[in-house]
Parts: sequence; structure tokens; C-alpha cells
Amino acid sequence: MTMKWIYWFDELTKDSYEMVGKKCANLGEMTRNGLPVPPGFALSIDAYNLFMRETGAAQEVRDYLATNPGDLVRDESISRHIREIVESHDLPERMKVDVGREYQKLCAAVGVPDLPVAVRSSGAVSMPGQMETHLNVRGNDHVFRKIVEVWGSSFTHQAVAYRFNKNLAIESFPIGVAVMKVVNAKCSGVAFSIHPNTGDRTRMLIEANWGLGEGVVGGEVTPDRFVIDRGTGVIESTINNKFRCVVAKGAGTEWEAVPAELQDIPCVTEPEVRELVKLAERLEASWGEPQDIEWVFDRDFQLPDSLRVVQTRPAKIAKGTDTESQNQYLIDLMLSAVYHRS
Amino acid sequence: MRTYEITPFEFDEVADLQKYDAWFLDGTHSVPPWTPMFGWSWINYCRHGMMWAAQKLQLPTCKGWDWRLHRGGGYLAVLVVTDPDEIAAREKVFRRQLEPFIENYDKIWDEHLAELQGYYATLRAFDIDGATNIEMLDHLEDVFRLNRRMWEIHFYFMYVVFGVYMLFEAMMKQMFDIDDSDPTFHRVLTGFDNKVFQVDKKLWSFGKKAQAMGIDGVFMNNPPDQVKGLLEQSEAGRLWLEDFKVFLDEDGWRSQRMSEFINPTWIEDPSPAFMSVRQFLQKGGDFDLERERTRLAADREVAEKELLAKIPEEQRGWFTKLLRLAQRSGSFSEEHNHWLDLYTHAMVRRALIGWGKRLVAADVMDQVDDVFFLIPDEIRRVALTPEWHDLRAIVADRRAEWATWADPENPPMMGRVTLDEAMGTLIRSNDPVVLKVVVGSLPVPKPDLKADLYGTCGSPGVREGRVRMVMTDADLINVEEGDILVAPATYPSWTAVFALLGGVVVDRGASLSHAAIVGREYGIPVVMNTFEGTKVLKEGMRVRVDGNMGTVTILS
Repeated sequence: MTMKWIYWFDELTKDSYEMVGKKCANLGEMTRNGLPVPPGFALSIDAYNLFMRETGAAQEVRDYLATNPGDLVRDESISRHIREIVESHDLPERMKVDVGREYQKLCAAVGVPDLPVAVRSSGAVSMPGQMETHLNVRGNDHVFRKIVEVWGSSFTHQAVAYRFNKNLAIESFPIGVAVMKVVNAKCSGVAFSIHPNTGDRTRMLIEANWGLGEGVVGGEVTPDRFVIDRGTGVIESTINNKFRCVVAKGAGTEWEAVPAELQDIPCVTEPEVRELVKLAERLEASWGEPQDIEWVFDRDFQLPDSLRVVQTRPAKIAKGTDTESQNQYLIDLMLSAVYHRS
Repeated sequence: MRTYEITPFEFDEVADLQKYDAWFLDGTHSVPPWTPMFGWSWINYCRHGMMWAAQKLQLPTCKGWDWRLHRGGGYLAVLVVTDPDEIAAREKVFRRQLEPFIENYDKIWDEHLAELQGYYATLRAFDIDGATNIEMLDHLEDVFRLNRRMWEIHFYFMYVVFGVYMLFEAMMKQMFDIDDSDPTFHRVLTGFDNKVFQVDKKLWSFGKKAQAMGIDGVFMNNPPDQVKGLLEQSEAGRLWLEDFKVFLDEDGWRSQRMSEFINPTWIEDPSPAFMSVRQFLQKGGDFDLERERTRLAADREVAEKELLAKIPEEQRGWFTKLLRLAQRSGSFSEEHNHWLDLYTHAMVRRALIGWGKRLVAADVMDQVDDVFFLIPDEIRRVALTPEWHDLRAIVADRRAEWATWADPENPPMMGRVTLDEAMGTLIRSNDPVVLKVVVGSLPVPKPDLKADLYGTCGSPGVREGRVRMVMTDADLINVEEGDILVAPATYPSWTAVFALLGGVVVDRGASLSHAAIVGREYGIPVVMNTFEGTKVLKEGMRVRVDGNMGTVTILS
């Protein structure tokens, strides 16, 4: 019996999240709606469970916890050890055959052997802590390894503590994986279809830097900022000193110095900003609520075909600048981080 | 005549292991074992205060702790809420209860502090020696009411403040990957003025004054318990003592052991205060406390700016609020010792000593200190007609029992489950006080570091020095500059000695314990929760204390 656990994005809809996680489901929905998502495929939660079962990793984790009933909430070494158990295994042979086949299909579709891809985690429920993304992964073996590492990386200390507190089995993690072509990025960034500071629905916010998106969300560099009035279309630009950005390098990514002549000029053009605004409006309409979007402009294409969208999710407006939202946000955080309510 | 037990909150091996699976010894406060009077007050009022605060705040998953008294030890069990509907209902109210603190913590603290200071002023004005027994009986009720109210306020703030601190820790980790072994973590929390620091400053300036008046030799060359007598022999000494008395009347309401009544306060016996003066003099030269604190504060501001620059602008608002609240947790942690526990216990002691003297004069008992071996109802029983009573037999019984409580030591846990299962229950309560203070952070052995002792970071930094074992505060006098203090724990009254130290290693504690907070203020490494530091380390060893890694290595 062959269970299906690999899905191309266009086989998924936003309702597929229980199967493949929210990120993959959203990528699927966007693909079906004709949005410019880089091509790729998803591994479902069943894939994770299959891996854990066939390699014996699930049993190993259960055995480890049974013989070491330590302090899962306070002792970080426990979650580290679980992660090591998971990552010590390779994909079973038959899973390698299936993943390898789909990855090769992707390479062929794009026309690039050993296509650089992003391997990203896709959780079905919101979980505290950050899970990993691997960019610029190339070749079968590397892809297989990074998939396993993404699964392993979900065993963050916070995620394990969270599951422990909710009395959920630690080793059954509902996690999907997205394998997606890495865009040859000229620039990337985020876009909010409303202003996240104040929840002002008449304005949009876009932030951008050269290179890959991690150069914007990481917070290390102040990106270019654009605030757009959705009614009048007026753009308020603040161009900042972008002295570093993230680029693909070897088998992975790195922070690199931006050439002096590029640091203080806008990394997106006005027509590009307008394309982003159109994208944000479309996504907001599609999902029926404000969106927090990650986008990239592909160096190998011309506008409008150069725009890619790599993630979308509901925009969190809680971090408002007004006192009331700040207070509520703090209380929300206290409840989730300290009292493990979410 | 019968000797009654101390309280209905005594541990019952059968009944108390039915609904509760385990009870944990509060080793921080009830080792060595409490006298009966103090045990009575703690088990009644501290217990009440926690439950009252948990109820008022409607902590989502915890209703405070239950307590039992056993051989002078306080044992606690956390009351965990498990019903999802109840948790949801509590959460709604909890949110509303938190808002005023987030909005204006200082205002709420100032109000409650003023309330307590009002009681202290009234009670201090009471004429303990001249009052009638009827008036003294009223006074006794008043101090017990104060005792109860102090604990309510104590936990009302502690639950909020410790919860905020834990949130701050979680956010620092999540947003910057910084935990409390990182110096940056501490840089943004230190350098605040607080009452304890102010008292230290006064002690330091009294040291300077002694130098200016040429009497510093008295402190340096004599044991603290002889200093008062010697000062009285000179004009300069008498003048100095007059000023010092004014200081003590204001800030001397504290004993060397915070969780007991039986030790004298600084007002009764200023030798510990003289010890602190001596230690500041020993530090010598231009060690200027105010300058130190100002330096720490300036450094903190730089560290804050650096941290905020790493966050996207739209997140700075709430994060700054959180930072400010977390900074208050350090201040509360230190200040509450002075304004709450120490002060209130000093006031209760004063009333009890007053009764002790009266009962000795009325031939009801032999020594003033015998009063600490009674329970309140026994005082009430004899108060208005002492000539009809003799409490000697009760005192003798209780003293004899008390003497047996230290050996064998009280077990760390009494339960019908394993230690780990019991810890699991504690942790599920999400009670910030349990996690931060009682359970603390368990040391995680890191064998790859090849150290001799493992603990958690209370304050960062690396120093080498000579081990100075301090098992009681009588040992403090031996401390020399640069020593590494090794002790079961440290106490608020030891703050001044930190000025001399190179580092601190304690058996117990967590990041909001006294040793950690003061260590950070004085910029010295502190390794806590070693559990066996006082057994493994020996007087005179040369060690390296690494606060960042939480390790101690024996060099010789």
C-alpha cells in the first residue's frame, strides 16, 4: 500500500493545513490562485510520522523519555537530545527514492540540475519558538539531510515544553516541510496589507533589503521602508543604509557586505512597490483578512514576472503603538509564555 | 499539663498524602528549623498570603501553595488548577488584574508601601514598656494583623513581578537568543536605586564618617560585638553612635535571619551593622557606592539602546514596557526583604519580646526568649491573669523537641511519588514563584566543561579567589577582599560584604534570589543552585568561579 505523503503545491488548498501544515497549505492556495509562487512540493505530516516510525526514531524518543524523566520544561538538554536522536537518522531508502524523484522533477521543470531549493518547516498549529529554514540546498543528498534537520529543528526547547504542558506526546510532532525553488533574489522583504503598528487599514507597510528575505526579518539591518496610502496611492519612502544583506553562498546562505554604491539607494523601484501593493490587496481579498507577506524579486526576470511570493499568513496587529494594544499584547505574551495558554 | 501541638497545619502522614502527592521542604527559609512561634506565623500567614494573592489575581493555573509544618520545617504543595473551564474563567479575570500593573506599576507599589509604612509608624509609636497588659494584648493582635497583611501584599506583587521576569527571560531568548548567563541580560537590569542600596550607602557613609573622626580603628581592630562598648568610651565615638542610633531607629528594623523571630534586630544589637561598616572600611580607598551605581546605570542605558536597536521599530513599544517591568522585578526582589519580611518580623518580635519580659516578671516563665516557644493562644491565655499560670513545662517540652529537629535534617520532599514526578506537578502549575524561587533552575551538569561544581548563573563574570566558607553570619568577619564566599545561601543583611568579594557560590537560589541580584549590582560572578557547594568546597581552596558557564573549578 502506498500512502501519499508528497504533494506539489498546486495539489493543495488552504484547507490542507492539517495535512501539510499552514505554510504549505498557503503556498498551495496561492499557487492554485495563479499567484507567482516559486515551484515546489510539500512533505505531509504523514511523511514525518513515517520517517519516525521506519527509522525507529519515535521509539528511541519514547525510550529516552521513559528512562530519563527529567525536567522537560527547564532542562534544555532534553530537547537537544531528542533533536539529536531525530537527526541521527537518515531518510529511509524508499523515502529517498520518492523525494529524489520529485526533486529531480522539480529540477527538470526549472531546467537546472541540482536546483537550489529552500527547505522550510510548516507547522499545523501555531507553536512558540522559531523553527528552521534552510536556503540554497542543492542535490539529492543535501535535500534529504535538510528535511531531516527541519524535522529535528522543530524540537526546540520551547516547543517541547509546550507539548509537555499540553500533555501531548512529545515525539508526534505535526510538522510538514516545504521544498521550494530558491529565487535568485535581487531584493526581498515583507509586506503588510495594513499598517501593523496601529492596525490602520488605510495604509500598507513594505520593508525591503537586497538579497534574500532573512536580511529583512532578522532585524540586523534597517531596511528601506515604504508606507502606502491605499486610498490615494501615495508612497512615503524612507531609504536606509543597507550595509549588509543575506545571499546564497555554497550550500547555504551568508550575511555579506553590500557594495557601497548600493547601500543608500532604494533596493526596490516604484513600479516594483506598486506590484507589491497589488499583490497585498489580492492576498488580503483572497484570505478575507489582512496579510503578512514575504516576497522576492527575481533577478532573472523582468517586472511584472519578476515578483515571487514565498509566504503569506494573517497579519498580527497586536504590537500597536497605542498603550492599550501594547498592554494587551504583553498580557497575551505572559499568558502564552509563562502560563502556557495560547 | 498538656503541651498542645503548634498548629492544625502540622503534617499528617496519612491525610496529607491523599489529595496531595508530594510536599517540598522550603529549604531557603526553614533551615535551620523554625521556633514554634515563627513556624506558627509562617504556616498561617504566609500560606494565607499566597492563596489570597493567587485568588485575587486569579492566576490561571495555580491557587497558591498549601503549607504544612513538620519538625520546624515548612513544606509546600502547589495547588494546580486543571479544569479547562475553570482555567479559562480565571484567565479572563487575570487579564484585568494585570492591566493596572502594566499601566502603572510604580503607583500600585507606592500605595501598598505607604499602607505598610503607615502601620509601622503607628506600631512603632506604641509604648511597649509603659502599656497595660490590656493595651499590650491589643498590640499583639495588631502585629499579627500586620503579619497577615504583609504576606498578602508580598505575594500580590511577587506573583506579578516574577511572572513578568519569566516573560522577559522568554522574550530575550526568543528574540535575541540571550539567556541569563549572558552579561547583556544583566546589564539591562542593574543600576537601580532601591531601599537596600540606600541602606548600604548610609552604612558606607558612616564608615567614611568614622574615618573622618579618627575612630575607624575601633571597627577594624575589634570584633563587632565589642565595638559599641569601645565607642562609648570616647567623645567622638559617642557622637558617632548618636547619629548611628537615628539611622537604626529608621532602618534597623531587621534581624540577621529574615525568617525567624528569635534573632535580635539591629536596633537591639547593632553588631551586624558594625560588621557591615567594617567591611566597607576594609574595601577602603575610593570605593564610592554612589559612583558605582551611577556607572552601572549609565552602562545600563547604553545596553538598553543597543538592545532596542536590534528590534523592528513597531516592536519597541511593548518591549520597552516589558523591560521596564522586568527592571522593577529586581528592585522588588531586593526591596521587599527590607520593607516587608524584615520590617514586619521585627515589629512582631518587638511585641513578643515585650510579652516575654512581662511573663518573666510575672514568673510565668524563666527567660524572655521562652516566648518564642509558645503559640499565640498561650500568650492570650495568660495575658490578663499571668499570676494564675505557669508555662514552664510547655516551654521545656517545646524547647526539647526543637532541639531534635536539626538532626536528622528534614527530608527535602515527603511524598508518595518520585522526586521527578513531584517536580512535574510543580512545573505544571506554571507558578512563577515556585519555578523561580523554590525549584529554581536545577543545575545541568556539563561534563564537557570539566568543572568541579555545576550550578546556574546568578551573575556573570569570571574570577579566581580563595574560598571563604560562611555557614552562619558569625563567619562573615573572616571575609577578606577578593574572597569567594561559599554558603548555603545569602541573606539580605549580608549585602555589604559583597563589596569585598570576588565571587559567590551558593547551594541554593535562582536568578531572583538575593545573591544573584546583589552580585549583579556589585559586578561579581555568582554561581547558584550548586546543591553541594558547601560540601565540595573547603576553606582556603583556590577556585575559579565562572558565572557565565555556571561552573566552579578547584585550582588548588
